[in-house]
Amino acid sequence: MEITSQEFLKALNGDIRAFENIVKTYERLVYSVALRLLRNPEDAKDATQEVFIKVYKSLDKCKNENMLKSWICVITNNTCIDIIRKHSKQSTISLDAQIETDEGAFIFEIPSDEKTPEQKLVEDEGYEMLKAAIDKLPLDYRSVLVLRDIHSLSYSEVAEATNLNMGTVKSRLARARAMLKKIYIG
Amino acid sequence: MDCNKCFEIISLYIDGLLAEEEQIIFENHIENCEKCRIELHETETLLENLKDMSLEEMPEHLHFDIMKGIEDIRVTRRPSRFLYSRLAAFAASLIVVVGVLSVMRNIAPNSGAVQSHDALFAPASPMASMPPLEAEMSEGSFAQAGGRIAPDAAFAEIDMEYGFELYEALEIPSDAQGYMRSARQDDSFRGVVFEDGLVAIFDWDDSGDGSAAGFYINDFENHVTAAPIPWGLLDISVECDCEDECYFDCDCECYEELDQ
Repeated sequence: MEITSQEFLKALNGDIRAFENIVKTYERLVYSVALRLLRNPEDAKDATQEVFIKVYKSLDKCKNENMLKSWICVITNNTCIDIIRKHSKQSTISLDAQIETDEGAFIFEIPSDEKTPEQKLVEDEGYEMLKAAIDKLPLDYRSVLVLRDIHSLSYSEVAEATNLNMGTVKSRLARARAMLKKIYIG
Repeated sequence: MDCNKCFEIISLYIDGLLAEEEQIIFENHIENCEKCRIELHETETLLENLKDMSLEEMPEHLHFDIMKGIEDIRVTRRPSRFLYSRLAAFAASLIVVVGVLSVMRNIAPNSGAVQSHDALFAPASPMASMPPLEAEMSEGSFAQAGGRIAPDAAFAEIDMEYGFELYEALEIPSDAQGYMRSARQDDSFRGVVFEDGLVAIFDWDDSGDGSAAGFYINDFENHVTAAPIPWGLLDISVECDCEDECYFDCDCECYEELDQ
């Protein structure tokens, strides 16, 4: 479903039902992109909400309904990058140091890398393996690949969404594909 | 063309971004180089798989959460010029003060307002004989999903969007500007908007559950019997034992008890 010019204008003029149509049209796309970039469903949910608040607040900056998809992808990409940056700035704790609490000291434990049978079953499916492979790509490569190859944005739209020039998008995408192939196929 | 160069431009070839001359050279190389042919085939297969990846399923309630977030900022924002013009008949008054001729019958039984309850609420208002209007809200609207009415100066704007419609005055006072009603299926919550911006809201079916909105209206003819208060001060929530404020259609147990 695409947003018509009439609906876009209505939303621009404050019609909340028209805006809700925009949300309905793009919310799965935004959530899907956010999930691939952030690799965490909770973060992806937060990002999706944040994206649509930004879209609502600045819809007048979108030139027309034809630009809406890529414009929303710009906001999604930037929002996810901001979230990743925030996470990276958060303080970290040593995983092997004892942590003192009111109830005594304890050691922070992380789950074993060993997969449960259920996890293995899921990961045996090609789709899950492909998602896992995408998750292993560096963010810069992941974002261009997700936008172009999963969500079919044009090169120029990807360039706009990632604030890169076309040449950089082309080279990053080529490397991202090669890297993904290496991870996924070997 | 050597294989390294070929590997470099496979991506551009797949996307049809090579110049015609370069494309011919690439295809000639592919035809004669099995290694590069396999590389091209694998990359194309990979991209087909990526395109086949469907969109992720949305988590439950995410759409509602998104719209709730939008609503929260809507109530704090100044109405747009467009809406001002559309609501010009009563917009000015919405900015400032909305008078409400009401007392919360169920909500504030112990408050001082109760003392004036009988005096304020005439049993037979002109609205009482008004036939129910058929719901015109589209299915699945935010209001019907339980959206709250925003206690905000831009009340009419928001509620028109979310679940209220203005109607031509029927049996309502001649000086009423418009008529609004709830989009709730039981249609239990209605009100009128007066030209001076005062809004009278009442519990249509007298069931008391309109008290979820918190208001009973008494005197439409005089429509000012209580000191006007800013709409923003109105609390349309019901008093509830749970930590969250409750609004229409709240699912919490204590609200259900109140609603009985």
